[in-house]
Amino acid sequence: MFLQFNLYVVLEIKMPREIITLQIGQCGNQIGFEYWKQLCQEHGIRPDGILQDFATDGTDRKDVFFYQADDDHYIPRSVLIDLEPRVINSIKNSEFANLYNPENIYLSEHGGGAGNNWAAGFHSGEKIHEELFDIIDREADGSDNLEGFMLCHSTAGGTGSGLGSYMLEHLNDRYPKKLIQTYSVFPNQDEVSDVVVQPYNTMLTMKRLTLHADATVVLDNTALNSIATERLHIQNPSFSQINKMVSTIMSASTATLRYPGYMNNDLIGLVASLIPTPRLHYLMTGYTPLVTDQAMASVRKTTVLDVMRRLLQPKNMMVFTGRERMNQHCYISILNIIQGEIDPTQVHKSLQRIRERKLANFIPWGPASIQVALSRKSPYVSSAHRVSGLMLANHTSIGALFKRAARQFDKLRKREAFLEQFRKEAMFTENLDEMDASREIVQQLTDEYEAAATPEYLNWGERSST
Amino acid sequence: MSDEFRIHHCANQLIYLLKASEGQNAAEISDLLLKNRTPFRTTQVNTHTATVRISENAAKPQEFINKYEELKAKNVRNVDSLVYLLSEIMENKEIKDTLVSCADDKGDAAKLIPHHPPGGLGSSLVTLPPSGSKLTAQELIELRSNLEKATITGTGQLTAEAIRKMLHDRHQSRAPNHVVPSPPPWLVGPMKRRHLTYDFPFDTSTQHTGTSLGNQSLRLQEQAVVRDLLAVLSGIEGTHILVRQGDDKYSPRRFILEPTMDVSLAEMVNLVVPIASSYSIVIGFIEERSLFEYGKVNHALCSAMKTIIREYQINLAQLDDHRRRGDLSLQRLVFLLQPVLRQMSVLSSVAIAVERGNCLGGSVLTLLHKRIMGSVGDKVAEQLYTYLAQLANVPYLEMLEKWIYKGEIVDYYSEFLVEEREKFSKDKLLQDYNDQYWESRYTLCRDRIPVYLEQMADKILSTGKYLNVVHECGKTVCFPGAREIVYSPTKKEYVKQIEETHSYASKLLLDLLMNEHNLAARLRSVKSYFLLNESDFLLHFMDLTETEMKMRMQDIMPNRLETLLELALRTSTSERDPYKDDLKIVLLNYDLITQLVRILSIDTVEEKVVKSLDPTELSLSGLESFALDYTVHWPLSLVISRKALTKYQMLFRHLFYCKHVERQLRNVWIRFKSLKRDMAVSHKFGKAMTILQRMLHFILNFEYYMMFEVLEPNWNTLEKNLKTAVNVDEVLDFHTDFLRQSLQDCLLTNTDLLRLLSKLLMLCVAFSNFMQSLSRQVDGPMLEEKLEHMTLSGPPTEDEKRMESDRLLTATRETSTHLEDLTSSEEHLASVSTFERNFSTVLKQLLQDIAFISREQGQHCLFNILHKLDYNGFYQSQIIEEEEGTADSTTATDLISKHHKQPSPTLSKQNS
Repeated sequence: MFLQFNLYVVLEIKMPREIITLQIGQCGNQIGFEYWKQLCQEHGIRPDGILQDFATDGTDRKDVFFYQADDDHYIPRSVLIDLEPRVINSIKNSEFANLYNPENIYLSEHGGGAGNNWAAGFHSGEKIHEELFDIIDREADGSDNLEGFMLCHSTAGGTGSGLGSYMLEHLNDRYPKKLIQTYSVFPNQDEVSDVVVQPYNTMLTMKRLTLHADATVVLDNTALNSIATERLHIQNPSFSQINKMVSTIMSASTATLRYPGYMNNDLIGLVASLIPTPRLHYLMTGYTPLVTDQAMASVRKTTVLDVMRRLLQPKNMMVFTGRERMNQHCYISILNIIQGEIDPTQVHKSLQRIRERKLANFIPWGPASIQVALSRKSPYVSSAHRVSGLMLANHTSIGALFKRAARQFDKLRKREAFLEQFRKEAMFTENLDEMDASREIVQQLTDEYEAAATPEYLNWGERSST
Repeated sequence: MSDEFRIHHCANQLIYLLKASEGQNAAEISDLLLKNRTPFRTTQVNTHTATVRISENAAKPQEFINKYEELKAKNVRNVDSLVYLLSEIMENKEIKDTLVSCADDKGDAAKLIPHHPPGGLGSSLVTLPPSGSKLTAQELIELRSNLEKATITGTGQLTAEAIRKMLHDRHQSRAPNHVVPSPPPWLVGPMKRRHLTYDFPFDTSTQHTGTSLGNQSLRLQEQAVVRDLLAVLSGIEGTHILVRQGDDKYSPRRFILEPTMDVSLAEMVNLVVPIASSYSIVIGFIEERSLFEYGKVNHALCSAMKTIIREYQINLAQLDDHRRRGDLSLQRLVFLLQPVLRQMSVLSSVAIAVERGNCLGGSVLTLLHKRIMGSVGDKVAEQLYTYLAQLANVPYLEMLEKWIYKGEIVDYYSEFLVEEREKFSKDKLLQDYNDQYWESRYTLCRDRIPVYLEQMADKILSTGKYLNVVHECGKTVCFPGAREIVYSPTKKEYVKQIEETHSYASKLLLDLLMNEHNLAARLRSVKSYFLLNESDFLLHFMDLTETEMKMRMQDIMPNRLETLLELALRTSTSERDPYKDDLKIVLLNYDLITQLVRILSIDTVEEKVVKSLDPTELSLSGLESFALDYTVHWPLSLVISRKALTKYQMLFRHLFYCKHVERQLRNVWIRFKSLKRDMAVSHKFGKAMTILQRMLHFILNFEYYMMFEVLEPNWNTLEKNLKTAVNVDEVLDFHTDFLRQSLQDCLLTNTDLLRLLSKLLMLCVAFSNFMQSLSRQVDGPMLEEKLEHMTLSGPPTEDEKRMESDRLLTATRETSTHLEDLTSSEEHLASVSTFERNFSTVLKQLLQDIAFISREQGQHCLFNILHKLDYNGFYQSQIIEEEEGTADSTTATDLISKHHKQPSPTLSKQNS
């Protein structure tokens, strides 16, 4: 066992509204790694967890995501879980190796991974349940007023989707009053994947996301790739470049928690207003201006209006929804997190302009608006742009993504292709009902999103349930 | 502010006295007055024509003119403006008729009809419309008000004695400590030593004695008359020239010459005796005015006069010497006394004027200054006046120096233009809500300002005030450029000096506040707590005090709250704030709505209704009574006074309550988030979730509006202004403006909107209670404490009753734990739709009211709420629909009117 005792005795300091991050699987750990790198940069924390000299007077709040060890070095509230050692080992070999609490890293003993099989990942969860929840419970007990969990994973592979699904179900049971927000990477559906069972994995994960997650930030690899190639002009975007984009989004979406202002200082405040009915909790994101290390040259003028206008353009969306989006679909809610030195009156003017020009369609069955959260920027990360903005939006066109996933699932399912691996696992030995149940849930979800675009949505539930 | 109140008061009085029933209220009129106010500029021409016009119309023109002159002589201010006003009224038949009829009603017609002598005194703010050709209704009102002011302030048709008595009384009351020591009895008793003075004893019993002059030769007669005359000139009654006092002490003396005196001699004597008369008046004046109670300026004036009298006496002694040597003929005497004659008459005219006007302090100086200005060309008089003025000014300017160089007042006789009122102490700034230290501790006394300082008066006041503050901070104040201020009628050296000192003092105090006491940082700290700029501490605090907030106010231990607050502060970003220890908590025994309604109802018809409500709210919860407080030390308490803090507190409580509502709604969201697992159940709750979403949408956007569209921009303006402020008064004004604007834009100043708003918030809380109780039954009743009842003070409204019954209904179902049963029940659906209906109705009403107000009153900031709350035009389209569809609109208007009829100020009585 790698658990090293006597290393860190956590100080009993009251730290309210903490959020614990769970990074599951290869993809989850990769974006998690980028995310913590980003946070450390923004808060002036060195890779070894020691606060930089220039950052000691900061007015930011680190304790939502970090806690301090006896020697005052910052430790992320993060749990790293994987069934194969590759990614975690690369983290352990990076300069950030000493940042994490080694007790919080769980690596499967066998190191064999889930073999891209959802069922394998799910069932290995049952086996290592005790160990995982030991870690999570310890983290939760160490926090004074836990607000919720942030889960990073992908829906395509085996560990992130399977073990992630398992964790979702059990977290929800164990901490029913805590929020669970996921950052879920959906596979690229343009290219042929090396994971042939990807549609199955996605569908089975979707069910858990729908039923057990409270908010899911959808990161669509299709869109991420096309943004990287078309908007950032990167020919063959690497994983780390894509992950960089993801970590930017993650850090921006938690900016208001870390740089407190008038409003939106907790996760629930961000999420509750975006999600009108519990199931419609899939959020799209958009971020502007996007820069990569290579593309620093193209600095644009950023005004609040520019930023907010660009955020409403479909091409900046991190979810690929095809052409369907513009037609009859509409926004259920929008939250723009604008960072930088901003005069609130500019925001007001921009909102007016967008309203006048009817740049955004809203649901016809209730009040909806572009909510704006203003947040400070990290003083330690230099940026060429004055203003940057993240949009978290609940848009009915996200149904397109589910339809697409469902189509691919149906294609395989009709042929009963590649099911052998699944049949090996306990859940599917007798029948494949679980698959069909998941398909059913996703269908309901798609229907609900469709209905939410119409004025009749208010009565939709009553009608369909009778 | 005080102007506004005064005008309001006057308008009120006017309406009452004139029994005006045209439907205007005092507030409207005073607004009109304030807007149309133009400063009154005296020009000789228009007052002159005005007096002529009045006297032409007056029944007894001479009496009016006499009175006018008398008042002018007394230096009464605003006589001119009043006269002008009266003449305007004469011109306007309509007003005149109204006034006459009014006056008839009251039975003292004479009082208001313009030919009566005016008696305006002390009303310092008579303002007049430009003399337009035709008076509009506004001007009419304005005139009435002005006239009323005049009649109120000039009620006593004052005689000189009355004024004197009043002045004396005022003097007595102002300086009660200065007991004028009574002179020894041998001086004032029945046997008053009249011969101890330099004046004539005025014994009426004296007779012409000795030999009759007529029997003597002309030469001897002349010698006797010259001797007698010299005696008379030095205040001793002669044998041939007897002296009698005139009508009073200050009228010319009468001289009774022996009838047998040669006519030519008598003629020459009559040329000289006016000197004696003047001398007597001056001596009388000096002796009286040197007394204790007349003040330093009078003393100085008297001493200046004494110097001249001494010269005069030396002159007389020389003349007497000539007489003894026998070379002083009466002719020569008359010739030699010619210059003296002029001097003495000047002196006596000053004495008479000062006495008639009963001038003290500043008004003496005004009088002298005016005399100098009026004596251009008359060199003797001008020099003499200047001499007197310079000396009389010395003590006054010394006081001025003390004041503008050190910020101290040494004014034993209440002469100085700035008056100190010790009852307004700086300690009270922290306690007393109505304390007006800054406005009232030092005030200008308009009638004590010498006319040549009139323009500078405000600067003088503020200079001293600033220095005084610095002084109060325990610093020694020393103006480096301090020079003696010298009076000069023509050279305006002192103007420059005062300007310099003023800018020095402003800078000094501003530096003290801004740099030494870090006003800007303080305000930022106050802002971050009271206006939730960094509200993460509040979040923690609310988490920590969840139970306390539900408790009754009496049961809460403030110490515990205090500790929890400290804990919350320590774990938030506020830890970096060096001033965090100054933050305290208080539990007030009134809730925000009550407080606001009470403040807003001041001076309105509702005042009595509101006041009659029971002030002690026994059922106040922690949430309602909780407020932050902040320790402010002198001199920052000048800016962050109790008054300002109370405003901050009101804003805080408002925001706090909104945050609380938001929190409640979110808790519902969290409780119901697990619904998604069951499709069927989740659909049952579809409607409830939509309402929840609407409420969340409302509260979040309203919070956003308040924070980012009101507080933050206003704050930015304040910060920008603070940087440009050159003196503390500006800082104060900016700060007050900031608070006023913020309160107004947060809807805290409009009773109607406030009621709607609090109703909405209350609905949100009621709804979240309702949902929470539902979910408790879902979770099993043993988990949660028993249902809490809303505390409803005041008569329950329809909605409240309904909600109450809803809650009771649901409460009685504790046995039924199955959600399915609950939600499919008719009652559940009914109560959910009731919530929905009420919420949208009130919200739409609020939106419409806001639209109306922002249209009518041009408060554009309010309009922003509309855009925020109804960004996608959802409610707007509903409103339009309702207006079109008649069937629905009747019920809606019913509800709306119902809400309007509830004047209960305690709408928000609500337990969390």
